[in-house]
Amino acid sequence: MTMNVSEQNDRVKAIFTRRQLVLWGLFSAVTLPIALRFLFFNRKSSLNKLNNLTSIESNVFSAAYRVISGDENQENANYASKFLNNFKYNLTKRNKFELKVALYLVEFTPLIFIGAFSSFTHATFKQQQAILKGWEQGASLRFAVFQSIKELTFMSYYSIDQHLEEIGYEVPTSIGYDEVFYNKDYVDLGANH
Amino acid sequence: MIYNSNNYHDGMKIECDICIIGSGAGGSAAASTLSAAGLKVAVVEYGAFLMPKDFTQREEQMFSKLFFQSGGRKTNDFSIRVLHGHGVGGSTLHNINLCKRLPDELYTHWKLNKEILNPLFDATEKDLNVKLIDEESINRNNALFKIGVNKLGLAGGPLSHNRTGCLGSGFCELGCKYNAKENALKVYVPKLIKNNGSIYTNLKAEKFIIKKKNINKLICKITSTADEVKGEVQIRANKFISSAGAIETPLLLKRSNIVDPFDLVGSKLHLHPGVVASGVFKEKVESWDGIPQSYECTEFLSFQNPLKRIWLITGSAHPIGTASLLPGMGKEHQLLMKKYPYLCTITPMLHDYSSGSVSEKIGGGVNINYKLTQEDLVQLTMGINKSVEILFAAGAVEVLIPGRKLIRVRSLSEYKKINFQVKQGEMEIVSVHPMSSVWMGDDVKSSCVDLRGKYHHLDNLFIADTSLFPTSIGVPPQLSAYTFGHFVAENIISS
Repeated sequence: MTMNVSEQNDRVKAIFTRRQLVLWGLFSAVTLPIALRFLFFNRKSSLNKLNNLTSIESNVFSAAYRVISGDENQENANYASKFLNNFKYNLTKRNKFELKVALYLVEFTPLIFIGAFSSFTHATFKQQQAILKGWEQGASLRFAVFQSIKELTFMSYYSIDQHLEEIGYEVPTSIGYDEVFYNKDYVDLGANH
Repeated sequence: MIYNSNNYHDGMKIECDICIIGSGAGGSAAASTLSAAGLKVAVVEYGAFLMPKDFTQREEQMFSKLFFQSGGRKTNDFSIRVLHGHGVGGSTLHNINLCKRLPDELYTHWKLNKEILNPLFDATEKDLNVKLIDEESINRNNALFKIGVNKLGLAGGPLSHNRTGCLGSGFCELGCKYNAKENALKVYVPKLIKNNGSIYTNLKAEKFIIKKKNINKLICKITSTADEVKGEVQIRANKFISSAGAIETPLLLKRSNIVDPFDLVGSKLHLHPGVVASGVFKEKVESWDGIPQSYECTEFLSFQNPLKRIWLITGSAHPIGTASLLPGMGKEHQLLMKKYPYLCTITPMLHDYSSGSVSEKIGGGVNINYKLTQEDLVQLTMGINKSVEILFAAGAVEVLIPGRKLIRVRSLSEYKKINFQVKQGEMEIVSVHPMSSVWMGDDVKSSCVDLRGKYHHLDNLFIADTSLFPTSIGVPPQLSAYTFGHFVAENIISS
């Protein structure tokens, strides 16, 4: 079956409205360079590169930490990126890669959410709030990116005892009994434990 | 002996009578029974061997040690979190110790003989020291739930758990530092070791090598962290049992290109999806303190009525879990978290008719496709409705329903006005009971495994975990998982 040009155009219009085309164009313009960068990066990289956050990724997470947790203490924000770097070590290679992509997406997509040609880390605190709100209110994939960063943020935030105390949660401690008592039956089971 | 990655070298070969993949409820029970019969048993475990001292009671430290993908595994549409564990003891390390038997109504449906399984349930309960939680041990969270259930005249009662010498620290979901869980790690692993069995930790069962209708060997990757591969180990055995859980078992079978003429493996996954509603009380509840989930409401769960498929139980989460569940961010979120000690949470868990599928993503990772049917969404909505009623009856001054947007209501009449409905993708839905992805049945065309646990199309592969369940079980599956482990092992011995 053949279609003339006008029919083909109508069909394209039915699939893409102008607004959708613009949005897709913008989205591709932003994500394609990032995707290519990652493809290139992934091919060349060793596991070490995946295991460690780059300075951009660290800065994105520190900034996101401040906005999401509401903890504006810069020392804690710096600690958060170190925390993430350690936590990431136990993730699968794929999850490490996805996390890096998520952080880069947050860094390079403020245009979509605040209409400004700025990176996330160079945006003002209020702009960063608006950007993350945009991620939070988006469709499932966008929300998933936000939710992952949020969960990691709270892992870091509540690894600080002071924050546990602030919500009335008892900081986990040993009850002071002899720890050997609870472990004695297991010691001989393991080789080199 | 329990070995770890320091004890292996690339190309290492292990020989045994029975190789079991996974050391959780099903695997450990099967291993214990088979080794007691004099067979040489080798168990392969993806995770590490953790002792009570390793359970630090800190969420940020334990997630990666206890859960696949550090607890971040989700369905493909990101709408359902699927938690399942690894480590010697599997999901019994982090579960809350709830023990309920296979419901009577399911025996007929599943074509199982109660006369055969009942003695095995008896023996398992004895092994695990299963006891009803006594009145004094019911914590404030569960006591409030009980008050609400009783005030509304609903059916409910205390639950049975497998714990001994519990101090009520409340850290069950992060592993027990005080060795009070009568779980796979404490009960069946020592029996296996005593019977000269072995557990090989930090090994990922990569694939079976199959010749004709038999598995010849299992190829495993040596992993000390999630993805650092240090080499390969081969395990030869006469028989293989997969007890890696309802997500990992079908993945292993698929990676092995196992004979599956009707394309069934991994295709009927059930999840027991759960949602939450939290009541804010005037006085502190501190739901994290004491034994969690000690009381149940069974009013809305019937195995004969498809309109009653909700089991109500309390929920409790430590700060990171709670903070991640509550929507919003910044100072507004901090204010919400100030209510944390005052929250009593109820979890409606669905005996799901919806089903999904499990497969491997290209390049690694897991595809879990699962869409709730409209009927199941209606059930979950009913579960939230009943939870809200119970919370207000118990004296809550406000009820919170966390989701993409937080629902906050101050009275039952206010709640009724909003006509709340559960929608997939709008609420955080959690599954801690994946099951029935390699299910049993007597028909080769419509099931994967026979009624003795043997895979239909191979002579020496058995399944012994919750994958076996032909449908959702509707109650916590751990006791059945242990019992099916014994059942499959006894079938192997008798054959």
